[in-house]
Amino acid sequence: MAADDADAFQHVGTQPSAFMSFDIEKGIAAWRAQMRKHRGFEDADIDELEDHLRSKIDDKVLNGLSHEDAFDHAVAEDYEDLPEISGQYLSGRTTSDTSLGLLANYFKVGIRSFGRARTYFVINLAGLVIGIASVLFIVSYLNFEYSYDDFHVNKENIFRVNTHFERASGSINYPIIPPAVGPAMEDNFSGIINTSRLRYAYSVLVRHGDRSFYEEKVFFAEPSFLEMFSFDWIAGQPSGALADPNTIVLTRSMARKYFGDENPIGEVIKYNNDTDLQVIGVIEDVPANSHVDFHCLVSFETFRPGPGALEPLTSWKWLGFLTYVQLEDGVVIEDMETGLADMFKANNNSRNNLQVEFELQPLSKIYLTSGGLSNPQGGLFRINDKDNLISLGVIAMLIIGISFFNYFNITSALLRTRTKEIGIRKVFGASKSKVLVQFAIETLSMVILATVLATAIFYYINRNEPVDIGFIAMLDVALVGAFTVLSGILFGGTFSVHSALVLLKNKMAVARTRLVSFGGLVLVLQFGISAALIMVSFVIVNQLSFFAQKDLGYNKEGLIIAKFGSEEMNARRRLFQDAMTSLPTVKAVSFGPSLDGSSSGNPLRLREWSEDQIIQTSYFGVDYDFQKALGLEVLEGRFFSRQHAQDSVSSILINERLAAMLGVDDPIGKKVEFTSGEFEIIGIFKDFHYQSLHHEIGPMALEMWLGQPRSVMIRYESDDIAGTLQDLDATWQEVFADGGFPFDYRFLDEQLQAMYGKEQEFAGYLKIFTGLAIFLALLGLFGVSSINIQQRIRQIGIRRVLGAELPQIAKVISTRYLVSAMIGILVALPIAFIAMQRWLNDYAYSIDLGAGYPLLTFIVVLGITTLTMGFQVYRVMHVNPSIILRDE
Amino acid sequence: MIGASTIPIILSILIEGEDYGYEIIKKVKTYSGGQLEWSEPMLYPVLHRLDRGGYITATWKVLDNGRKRKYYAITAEGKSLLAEKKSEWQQMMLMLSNMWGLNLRPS
Repeated sequence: MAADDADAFQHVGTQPSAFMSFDIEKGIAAWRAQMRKHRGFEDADIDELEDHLRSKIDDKVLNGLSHEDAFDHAVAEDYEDLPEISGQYLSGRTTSDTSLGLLANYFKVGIRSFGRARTYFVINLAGLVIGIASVLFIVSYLNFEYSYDDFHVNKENIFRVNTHFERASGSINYPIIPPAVGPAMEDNFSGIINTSRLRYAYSVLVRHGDRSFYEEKVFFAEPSFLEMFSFDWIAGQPSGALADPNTIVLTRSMARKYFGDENPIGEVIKYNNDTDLQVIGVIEDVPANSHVDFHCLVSFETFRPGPGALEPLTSWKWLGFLTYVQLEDGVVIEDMETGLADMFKANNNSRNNLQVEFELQPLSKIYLTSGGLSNPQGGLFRINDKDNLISLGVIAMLIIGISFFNYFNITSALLRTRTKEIGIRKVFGASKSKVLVQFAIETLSMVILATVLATAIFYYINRNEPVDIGFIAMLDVALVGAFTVLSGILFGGTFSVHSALVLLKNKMAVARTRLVSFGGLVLVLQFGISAALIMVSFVIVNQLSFFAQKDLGYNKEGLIIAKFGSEEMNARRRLFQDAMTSLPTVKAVSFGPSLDGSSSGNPLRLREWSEDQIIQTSYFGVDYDFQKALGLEVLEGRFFSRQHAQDSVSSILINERLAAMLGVDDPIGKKVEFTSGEFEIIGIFKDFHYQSLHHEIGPMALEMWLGQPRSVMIRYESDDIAGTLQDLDATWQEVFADGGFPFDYRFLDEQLQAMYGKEQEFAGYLKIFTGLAIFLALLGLFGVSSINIQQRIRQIGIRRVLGAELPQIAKVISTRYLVSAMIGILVALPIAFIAMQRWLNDYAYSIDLGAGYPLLTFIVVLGITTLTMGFQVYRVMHVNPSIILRDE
Repeated sequence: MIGASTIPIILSILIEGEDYGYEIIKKVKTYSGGQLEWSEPMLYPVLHRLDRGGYITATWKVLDNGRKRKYYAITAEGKSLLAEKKSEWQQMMLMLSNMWGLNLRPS
């Protein structure tokens, strides 16, 4: 740039039209210099073309264009693809044939364009590979999640019986029902092939010889269970299995765990150190896509309601049994549901004003539509949230959409450069179908290559997992097919179906206009999708970390929960407690609930209330040290105390929520009817989260329970966690020196996180695939803007030679992208905002969805776009213009 | 087809008198009613081939404003090539007009 030009520019300020006085001779000199770089043009050719160029510029000036615009247009119209033109001159000189020699060239074009666009080839391929691999992952995951319980032969006819309780204090849905319902259905209803009750055994200490472990996944099952459901037998006699008391069926892994390679059939294992169970069968491990998940099944006949149970096995009140029915074809489900409600009303003879409904939930629906059911026994069965799966499906579509649009955008931008070639070939007689075939072959080979690579990546990452090869192959074929057809329609439609005349008319003006607007739309779409995905990730990740940090109303740090589930252990409870509390790091030891999100429930009412006025209340049975161990705050009254003998039988503490619901001025000292009779309220404790944060804190009570606990809580205070654990383990082994009582513990905060396992899995997938989608969108933006700039680089180069400054160049390059980004973001954010509001509504406790999220997203997306454009501007500005002009 | 028409089109323009590339392009536009536009720089290799084949001749001339311009003129061989092409195209047009029921008569 000449110094006087720069001065002139500074004086006239920022008016773009005034910043340079265009010198046509300079422009033509630059053009000639560039023509000389190509060996196809001899000096005479360049002279002749210069005359042509000048004539054309003169015409354009006569038509009212400025010299500068006339020059730019004339050059841009004819010399978009110099190497190709040069090649034609060269071959025109070397062949004497006046009509042939064009068809051979046709094949060369395809290959050369591959090489010339190597960068874009890599961008395209990487984009397609990432897109296709993501879709393979998500779709095969979804395929698995939707395949739950598919393997049962009788799946069409099996239902689970759920109940719906409507009480004054609110409604609850349970998957568990009273034990009397199943047998009564068989006796009273027609059309029933089988019913089967399952009772969860909580954690069980299982021992064989010197091997003893706590087992979490133990159920009591009726013999019909193994007839209804299709679990594969490995050893033992299926017929009549589990009919006798004290028999057990193991899964393959559990048999190996206790018996190694020995044959377990006929052997005896010890259940909770008090019951001998005979192994009568071994079945395959429960498939990963079964909603019921167990390691062993104990015969239902073995089950006896424990000493703390309030009801017998003939109860119509005890909600504690999963019940499955297998129906004959043609049974009207609604009729049976009504019949169940009537039967329940006749037998329950509760004087409470109780609205009870029953639902027969089809087996195929259990896994994905049990979210609204309270799962009071913790990990009773596997569930997942259908909405999350749908969201992942949408993300898969977005990813494949972005990756296709990238391909389309980049390829069509490249094709615009090649349009001239196509046009020329058409003028000289190459047929439409041949052009179409060439693009189809290019696209097809690109897509097949990408699919093969993506599938290889998929297999590599899943190398230790079973993969449904047929399904993946089908998916591959579908993707290749869809891509090819879509490309054919878009590219073929835009570039080849037009007749050569229309195509060449106005230098592709028709086709180009359409492409620009379509490409612009795609760009807006891509920005919008990225913005929406970024905001959704922000919100979900924040909500989950909110869970992790939320104050639960008690001190969850420094608390260890260990299994304490047998009568023999309970016999040494006092000894254990004394030994543990004598350790300097141990602050409190309490026996009671396992704090895994499970709780029991019972109707509660004030003594003066009428019979039908009740509040369904959750409760924990705890001991004297519960308050100290948990760090619970008692707001009014007092906690249970050894000084008050009546506490262990007739005292109760209630939470703030329940205190408010009772609606009396001072609840302390009031008498209530609860689980086993009449209790006096001795205190009110601060609300704490006894369930996962999906649930709102409900009415809750604490009563004393000094019988068999499930767990022991140990509160410790030490920074040396490993040392503390060592001390605890040593003390444990000392108390239970005879062995067979493993120290099976978890840290409470870990256990709490496990309650959000499915959300964490979902958030994990979301982070990965959102990241990939954003990366793809950026890749596309980068690719398209690079091509666009390359196409205009002559114009930009000439402008720079003639003294344009950074602001003009930056504007020329980035306006279109920044505007597209802005529109995309503004359209997408409200949609994402509304979707996230709905998502957060499902949580009883959630973050506030303020303006911060869309604002942050806006800044991030615009920031990234600006950075990308800045990089492009930098590239253009820091390259010698003459090199730009030469390279083109 | 369009490829095959290139040579007779060029020769038909030059038989009206010598001419230069830019003007040939403009005439093609006019004759085709704006429907046919060639890639402009690509015209010259075709002209050069016709030159080498002896169908046309090329001469540099200097204009009043000092610009150099190359003019092309048809030769006898070019004229007979055109006659040949013309009868081919006429037959083709006749055949097609018969097929399409346009009732053209050979001139």
